[in-house]
Amino acid sequence: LSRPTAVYLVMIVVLIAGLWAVLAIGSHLVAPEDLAGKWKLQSTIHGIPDDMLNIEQSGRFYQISFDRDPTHRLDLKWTDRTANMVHLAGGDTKLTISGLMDSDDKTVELSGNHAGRWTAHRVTRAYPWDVSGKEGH
Amino acid sequence: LNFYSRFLGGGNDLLLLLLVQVALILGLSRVIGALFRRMNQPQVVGEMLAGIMLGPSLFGWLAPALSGAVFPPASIVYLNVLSQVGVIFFLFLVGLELDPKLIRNRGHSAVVISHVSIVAPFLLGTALSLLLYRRLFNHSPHMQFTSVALFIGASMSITAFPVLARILTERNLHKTKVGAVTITCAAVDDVTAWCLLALVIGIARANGISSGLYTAGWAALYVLVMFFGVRPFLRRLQLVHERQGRLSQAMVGAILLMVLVSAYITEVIGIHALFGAFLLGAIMPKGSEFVKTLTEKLEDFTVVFLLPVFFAFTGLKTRIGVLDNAEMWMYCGLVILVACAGKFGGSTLAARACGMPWREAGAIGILMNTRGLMELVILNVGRELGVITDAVFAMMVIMALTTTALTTPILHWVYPRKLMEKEQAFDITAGYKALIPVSLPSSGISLVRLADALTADDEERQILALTLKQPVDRDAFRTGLNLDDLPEKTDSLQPLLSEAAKLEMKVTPVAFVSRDVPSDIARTARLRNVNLILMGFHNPVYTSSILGGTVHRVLTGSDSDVAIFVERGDSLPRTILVPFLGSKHDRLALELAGRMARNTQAAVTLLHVTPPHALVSEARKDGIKSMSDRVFNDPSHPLPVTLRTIEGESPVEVVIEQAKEFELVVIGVAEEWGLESQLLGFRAERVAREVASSLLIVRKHGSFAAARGITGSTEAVAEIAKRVN
Repeated sequence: LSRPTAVYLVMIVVLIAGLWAVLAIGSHLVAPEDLAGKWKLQSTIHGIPDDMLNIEQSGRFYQISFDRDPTHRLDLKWTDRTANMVHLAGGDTKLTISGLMDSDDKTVELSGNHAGRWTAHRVTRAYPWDVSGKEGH
Repeated sequence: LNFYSRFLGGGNDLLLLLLVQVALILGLSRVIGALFRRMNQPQVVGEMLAGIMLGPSLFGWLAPALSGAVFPPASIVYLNVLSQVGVIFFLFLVGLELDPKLIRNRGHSAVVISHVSIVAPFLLGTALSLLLYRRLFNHSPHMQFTSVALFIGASMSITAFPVLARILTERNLHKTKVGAVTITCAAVDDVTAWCLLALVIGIARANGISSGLYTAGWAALYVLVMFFGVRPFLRRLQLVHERQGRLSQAMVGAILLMVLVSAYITEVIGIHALFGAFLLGAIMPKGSEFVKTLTEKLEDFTVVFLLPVFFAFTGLKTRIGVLDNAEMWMYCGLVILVACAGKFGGSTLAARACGMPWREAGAIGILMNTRGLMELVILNVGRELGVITDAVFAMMVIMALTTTALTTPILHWVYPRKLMEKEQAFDITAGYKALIPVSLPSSGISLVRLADALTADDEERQILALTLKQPVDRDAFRTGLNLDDLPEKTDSLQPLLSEAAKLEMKVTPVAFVSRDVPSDIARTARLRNVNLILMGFHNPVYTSSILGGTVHRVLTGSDSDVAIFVERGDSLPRTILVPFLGSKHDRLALELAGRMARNTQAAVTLLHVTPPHALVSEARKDGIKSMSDRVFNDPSHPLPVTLRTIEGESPVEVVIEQAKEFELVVIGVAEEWGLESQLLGFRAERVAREVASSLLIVRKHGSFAAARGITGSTEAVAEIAKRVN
């Protein structure tokens, strides 16, 4: 068995075993719920106006802004998920989004500068959702 | 902002806006690309960076209002279309450039290293996604773990063949073992990576196993149709081209149509339009003028115009601001680390395991770690598919830039030029060596005749004919790489070599790619222990000095003697004038004239110019006489020489006047003769311009050559010169 052939055989074994292991372990992993997109907010508290919420999300990291104050951006991080609630936090701000997983209708509750409580409907998604991969962006 | 809006057509004229956008993109891309080239970096790194600078990461961050006016979201669609078309044709060109010869019969080691260089980063990439998946990806149908893992693996395993080939040719590594193995690996990587990408896209888009099998089945069928149905048709096109001797517009139109149809079909099948374009290019019959002409017709517009738009589009989508905390930057660092560990580490270890020394194995690893714009292509596909998030896209773009930019400096460090030079160095004990750099084919004939006249009496003489090719301009794509290129086949050396054959003279041709011609001439002369660099002159572009520009840099930068031949006659001289004041350059002129006289029986006249009515001491006269005797009155082979002393206010005037009687003037570089080497000399040298006969202007670099004992009579001449001065 020449040296290159031995290396080649080792490589094939490692590839098959490694890929199998990674895909097997990975199949149990669940990524954070995709909340990215533009959400239409309807306030449930008197005196707080309706608004549009923009969520940019990469996994557990979120950047959110409101149309009424687009220059003010909040950097939040996923902290927890309980039942159908996603908890985000960053600085003094806490955001809770509740509703069924992957649903476009949620309830949003924010504490801090822009405190309020809204019902939210997702108008557009940031990432493709249909099978052909053309939606979004 | 109102001013900007007016300038940009009020935001309503989309054509005006697009023109401004493209002009800005092209301008910045060329400037930053050129800047990076000057920094010894691949131009494409600068072009990629220019694209990012135009996006929200810099332009949008520094001047959000202006950026919004120049690149309003509605206009991005048009840029996207332009960039997509550009990438489709770029991938077609990449396929065209793919030469099966680079892959076939390259030995077991090359195959093993190339496959390990794909498998190692692929596996490490998929393993990294175990960590990143729950942190940086969203739960969506297109971001299923399998798609994400395979995509991250595929994007880590890519190598930018064009950039890599460019680095190899510029460092003249492509014909070394390191170069040959790396090129094979990169070519294999190219094919594998695009097939892998097609597979990942198929999986990402598939809706269940049946859909996946359907896509795979159609893709396999399409590949078979392309190979067995379309390829024979392309061969016929090639034959038509050979018969017609040109590539007609109808043929170009047909091929462009085929590119678009092929891209359309693969997009419909579900493995992306890019794969169709690449496949058509890859199956094109190679090694013909047909492919070369087709490439030349398409590449300028694609590479110079469309690719920068692609870079800008990528830049507009890259938001480095997304990485806004230490944890994100840590993940970014991890991505870079894993990418390097997989590609560099995998290739290096595989090369070492196959028996290559550590240094060479390391060089292969470094080169394979170049990802360049190929990474951007694959990342854009991933983003379009929704397989990666904005943060991962930004991290991977940074990784692509970092790995590409690191290649050249790290390669310099691990595999320094002096190491290659050591391998190329020649035996210094052999006979007289002359190096003839040739740029224009026509200049080679007279130079080789002159070299013969200077060295014919030396049985061990070595004549090197050197031609340096400028790197091809379009380094984002074209490599200028042809492993079968032989120096003797180089066009610019052909006339010289034919003439040498007539003279029964052995000439060694040397050809390589050079970014800095004067330095490489001097370096080659040093490596090969050359005694004399014999070159023609070219009028510098910006100055009027014959001894300026490239000639100046060779004259001042080389460790060998240099002779610049200004040809004004097509036969060997029978009469030679050597103006002589006693400098070391004059002594070299005397020595070279002596060599010519010995070999051609030419009559030499030594011209000494003195101020009017000056008393020339007897010692000085004796010195000149002794010097000429030592050069010309060799008892075994005496030569006729005439000493002529002329009184004159201006030595230059005297030389011009006296030169009328001679066919060649051999003259040293000296202020007295009005011949001074200056990089930006704007004063035309009168002797060079006004002497009607041919001129050989010489400059002595005494210490180096004399120390090697090469120039024979030089030391004796120097001894006598002390008496003259």
